[in-house]
Amino acid sequence: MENPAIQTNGLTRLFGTLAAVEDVTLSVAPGQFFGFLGPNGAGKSTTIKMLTGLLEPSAGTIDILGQRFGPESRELKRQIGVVPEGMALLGRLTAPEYLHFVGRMYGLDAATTNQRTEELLEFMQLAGEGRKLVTDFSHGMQKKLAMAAAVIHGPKVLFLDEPFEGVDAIAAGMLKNMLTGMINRGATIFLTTHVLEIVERLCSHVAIISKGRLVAIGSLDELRAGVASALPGVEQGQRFTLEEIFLAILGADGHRESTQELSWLA
Amino acid sequence: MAGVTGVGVNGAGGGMLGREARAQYAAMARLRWRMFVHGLGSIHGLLDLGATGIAWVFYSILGLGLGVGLCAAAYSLASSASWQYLPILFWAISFLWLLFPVLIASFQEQSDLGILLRFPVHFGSYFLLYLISGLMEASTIVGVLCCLGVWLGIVMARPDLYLWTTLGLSMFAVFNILLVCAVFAWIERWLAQRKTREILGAAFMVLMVSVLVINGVFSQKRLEGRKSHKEQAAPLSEALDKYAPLLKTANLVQQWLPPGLSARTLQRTTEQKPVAGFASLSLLGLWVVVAGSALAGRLKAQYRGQNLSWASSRDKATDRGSGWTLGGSGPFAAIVEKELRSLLRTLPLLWAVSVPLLFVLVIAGVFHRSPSSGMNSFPYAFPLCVAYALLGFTGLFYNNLGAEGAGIQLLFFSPSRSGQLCWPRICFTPSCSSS
Repeated sequence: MENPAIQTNGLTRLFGTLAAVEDVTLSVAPGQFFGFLGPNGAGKSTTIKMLTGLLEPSAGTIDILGQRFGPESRELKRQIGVVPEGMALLGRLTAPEYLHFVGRMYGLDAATTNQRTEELLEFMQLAGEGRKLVTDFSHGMQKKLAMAAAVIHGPKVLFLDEPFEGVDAIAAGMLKNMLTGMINRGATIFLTTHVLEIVERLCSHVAIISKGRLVAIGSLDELRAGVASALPGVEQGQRFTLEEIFLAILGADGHRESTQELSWLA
Repeated sequence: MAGVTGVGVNGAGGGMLGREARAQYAAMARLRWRMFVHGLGSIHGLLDLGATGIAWVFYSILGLGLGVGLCAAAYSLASSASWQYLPILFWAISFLWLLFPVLIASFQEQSDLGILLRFPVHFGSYFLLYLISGLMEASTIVGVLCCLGVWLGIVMARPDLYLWTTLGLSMFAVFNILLVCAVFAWIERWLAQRKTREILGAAFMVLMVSVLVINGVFSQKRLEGRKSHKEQAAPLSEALDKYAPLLKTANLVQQWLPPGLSARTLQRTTEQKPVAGFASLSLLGLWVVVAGSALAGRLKAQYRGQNLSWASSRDKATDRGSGWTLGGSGPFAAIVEKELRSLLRTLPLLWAVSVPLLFVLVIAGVFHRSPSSGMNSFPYAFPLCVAYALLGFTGLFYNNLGAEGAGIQLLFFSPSRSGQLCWPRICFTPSCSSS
């Protein structure tokens, strides 16, 4: 049996007494497009930071591509790409310079880095912005550059923290095509986003985290079935959207009531 | 694009001096260079460069001044064979080396190598890059110039001690560089807090003025010239007698610490005890290893992803519940309340409000005895001018819409006249100061 691309066991991160992530155990199969959802402050970004070696877990283990992942796992880091929270771009560089830097840091030789930089900038429609500093880029352009930097070394596992936030519809479509292409060629993608439609369209499997704890995990059909069996009065064959699943699992009824209380709103 | 892994990859291995690591150093160097070059292309970048240039000139002048002073002191001690006083110079350098960067931390950008963690970087490379960034610190310039001063003073007086002086001072310098890097790596969490940086910034300004005022006091004493040297020395001699046992113990302890060991290396050599000198040098080497290990320990934790500044910000989920309101309605009351909350939570604002009062008290204290006692206030002229000039900086913190940041948009969106928005700000700080 093939090893999972990503496997966590009891993953926990404490900040003082606050458990940002608590006992998260999940498994992502190779070639899977995995959506990691949760409300603001649920622990999504903290989980991604741990999975990419940016943050040390307080407890638990991480295995990537069948190997234990730790700070010294340089070979594994070469197989991982990441669009981190805040994108970690260097504002006072141009896009080609930044991609060149990232490529060299991943160990690509100069010729390969140059070639991929050109291809990526062309693909991301940033080729005409070669003289502009990254700090002068719009938010969407910065996202595209962060995505280019995440894939320049051809990673087998890609971690994306809110990659579609602030990206226009055309660019989002382009990025989705690129990600789907990667999946078709065997890459694994771990995605966090608040845009549930994108997850519904792209992801085959989903996990939902709330207050640091994993509250649901499975394929979209499994989650639908779970919600259908848990909710009273559901007709047979009723197809829930991911938004409905999300709200049902996280108990959004309370949220609706509180909105209704604001009766002074026009 | 995916699935091309392995094409054009330099390959892992080779440790911190391997092919891949060297390519990463080159990428880092190129990154810094390009950022510098691009910085020159904008007004902000040019101003930034100008400010950095002025700061480096200031640090260099400070280092040169101290270096010349230490050179003279070392020459005097070495030529008169007063080796027992040499540790004082080394301790002074050590304190300066450690204290100076902590005090100016609020004015400097802290280097963050966290961006490297996503890349397959060897720990040795991470350590080396951190150390290199430590070498670029102002404290290193000042400290090294001080060490050069001492080296020059001793070698001029005793050329035969060239080798031992070079070895001892080099190791002493390496120890201090590692110690400062280690201290900074460990207090990162503390420095990451806005309040700490504000306190250190204020402390630096107070220290600057205090040193100048103390200098004024000494000048005043000199000008008074009422007591003979013998009379002046008597209380000092009494104090030394009183604390002799304590000073003796302190001297015994300091001999085993790096500044003391550096001095003892030279002292033993002049006493024709090269083995003892070598032993002191070896012990100093041990201290270098200890400082290096402390640094490596912290950096190893950072490398594992134990980022203290993140922990600090997440850890401090403190409840800042308002607890009080000023009452009143309308924009005037709202803005005054906002200003008051900002004032209570921002040290530079408190400093801006309180420092004029502080300086009034200091100036009053300096001059109030003047007419009757015939005190000469001239030595205080310069410190008071500096203090007065510093007042100029305090004005930047208030009545400045730029400090509102993005929040300024809210003021413009609100259905208020510009006068209603500006008057509370204009009135607020002077009211606080006068009250």
